[in-house]
Amino acid sequence: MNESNMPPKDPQKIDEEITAYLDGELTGETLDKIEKRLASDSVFRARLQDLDRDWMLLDELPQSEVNQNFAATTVEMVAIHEQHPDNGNYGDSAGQLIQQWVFVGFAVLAACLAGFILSTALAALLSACGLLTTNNDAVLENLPVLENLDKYKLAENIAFVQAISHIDYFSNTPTDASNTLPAYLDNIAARKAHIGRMQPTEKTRLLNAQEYFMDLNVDEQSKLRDLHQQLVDNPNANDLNNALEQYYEWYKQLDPREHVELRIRSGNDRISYIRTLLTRPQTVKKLSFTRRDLEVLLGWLRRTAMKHRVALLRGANQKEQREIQQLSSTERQRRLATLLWKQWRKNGILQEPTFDQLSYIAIKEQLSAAAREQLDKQSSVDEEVHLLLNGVRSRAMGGPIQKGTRNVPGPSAQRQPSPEQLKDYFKRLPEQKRAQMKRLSREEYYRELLRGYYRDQVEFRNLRPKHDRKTNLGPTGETNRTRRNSKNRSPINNDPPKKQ
Amino acid sequence: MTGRKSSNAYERHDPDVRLMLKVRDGDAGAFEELVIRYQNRLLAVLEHLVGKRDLAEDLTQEVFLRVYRARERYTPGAKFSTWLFTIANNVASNARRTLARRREVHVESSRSGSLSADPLAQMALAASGQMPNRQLDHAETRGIVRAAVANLNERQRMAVLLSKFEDMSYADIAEVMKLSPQAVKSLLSRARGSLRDALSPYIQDGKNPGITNP
Repeated sequence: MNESNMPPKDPQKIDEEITAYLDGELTGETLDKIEKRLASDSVFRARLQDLDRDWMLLDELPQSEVNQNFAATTVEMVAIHEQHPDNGNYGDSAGQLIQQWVFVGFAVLAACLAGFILSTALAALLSACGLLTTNNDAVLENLPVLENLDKYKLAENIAFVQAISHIDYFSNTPTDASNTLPAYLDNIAARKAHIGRMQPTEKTRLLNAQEYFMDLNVDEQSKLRDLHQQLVDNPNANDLNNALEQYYEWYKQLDPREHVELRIRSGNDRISYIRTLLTRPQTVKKLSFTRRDLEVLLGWLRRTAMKHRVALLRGANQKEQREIQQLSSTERQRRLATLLWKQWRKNGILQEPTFDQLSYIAIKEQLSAAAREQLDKQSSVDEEVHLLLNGVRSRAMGGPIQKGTRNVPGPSAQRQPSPEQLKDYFKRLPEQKRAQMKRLSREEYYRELLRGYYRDQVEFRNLRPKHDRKTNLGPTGETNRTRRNSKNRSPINNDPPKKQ
Repeated sequence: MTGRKSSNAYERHDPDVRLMLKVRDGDAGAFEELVIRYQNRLLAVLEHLVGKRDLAEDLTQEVFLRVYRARERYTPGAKFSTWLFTIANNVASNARRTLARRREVHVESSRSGSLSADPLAQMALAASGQMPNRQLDHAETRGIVRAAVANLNERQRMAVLLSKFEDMSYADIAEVMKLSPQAVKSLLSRARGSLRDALSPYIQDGKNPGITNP
């Protein structure tokens, strides 16, 4: 690293120092020098903003996800290779592999091609006769429902959607273009084109939604289709869709107990409960984010937290420091973002050395027009950022509680049970139930434990949702199988189920 | 250069190192847990390195196979993620050499057509009014950013992916790529400059920067 006393003048060196600064690699005197120059040299500052802004565009790169069987097939593949260790690895002695397999490959290819042609012709014939409906046909047919499945599942019926559209919180946000029902889904060709343009992660989500949908019984499928059709046919379709989208975004930020309360209530009871939650002080002033807004803000929080990780860790107590050190890179980022969030909420933003107004202005430019408009109504930058922080509350806290940490309590999360309370509850369970739970994976075990604890607390044994096997769904509608492949799932408590 | 921690220190501080030690001791469940934790991360990096989803999946599995085969002689000498991505870097390098020999250099992803064509095609569609503008902007941006990354040389691209997606320090990236931290700093600096040159026309006035594929 450049340890010279003067900041570098060579453009390449300047860029290197700016890059190292943005990556949080500078310390001590070099860091002080660069920061002083940033404060006094507008050209230098502009260069930093350019490099940082383009770097942040990398957030646009799609993050691929494997399909849900990948882990299983990988383990199986490894097991097979262990049994037959002479199988070549990709890239090892590639020339020999090619020679060995090229003839086999041609033979297999020829057979596959013949089979493919035959099966495609047969499938086309059967499809034309209406005798064969492929999975793709089902996806095309159900596409409008599948793309809105997470939202539709939260709505009992069209009356519920109409009721929430009369609640100011869900209807006062200006209708965003992305919240309107897309017209191009009217015909199969448009739907095919739409799917063709999807990124792999979007296609995976669509397939997962299709799988979930096909697992429902006929009545439930009809209910969701009917809801979609009623929304489309309604004269106020866009307003209703907007309200449902806002409700969905708001729902995701609630804690698990509130999700349970909402699910067990219906009709006017549910609407009343929603109004009760909305009148809590912390939800009165809430910014409506699109999904992209949240991604932008969370990315900014995490980057800023990593840039100032040394200072943030210094401010944490020893136990927390030790816990954070043990986390994986991604989990550490989330935890540091939580610390940063707490710090910013506690102190005035403009007095915070970790807050960079220039980077905040750059981030604000990337938010949706609706979010920017609401921020511009605030009387100061301090209020703007506090509004933003309220909005990312649950996301900044990192979602599921990480191993060895405590969930950072928000106002409603203070009612969540402590590890000791969960342990006591587990001990009180019947022997058979305990044995059953111990056979679950760690993730499922803690999910079942928490669910049981809340059931016990609120005494709604007889009011459990009808389709209990589907209650493993999280707020975004992911199934257990999807969650298992998600990289950031960890138990509430760091103690695994103890074998007796 | 960063000081080397002892094996015990890595074992104490890195939960993934502890998992790998369990794999060394014969715990198959620990191996599956590592696969679950890292499969998406590896796939994301490898897909951007080789440009093909199916190849990236194969390479991801190859990485895990090598991890499993190395289990008996595994000694924690670095963070687990650093060790894992060192293997991934080697696997990706081998794959690229093999692809080059087979004259199958497809840098861009094959799913949505060529990188340079996709954003242009979508811009044309937007001009015809057939696509919602908001969705077009996002897709177009994504295509152009992907093209800009694909236009980086292999080492710059790897350094960018490790820095951006894995949030690795220069020291860790240096270990993965067998470079010095100063070389990594230079690499990332030039990568940022290249990205800026590629992306700034798009940011400034919405013009496709006309990125061409190598």
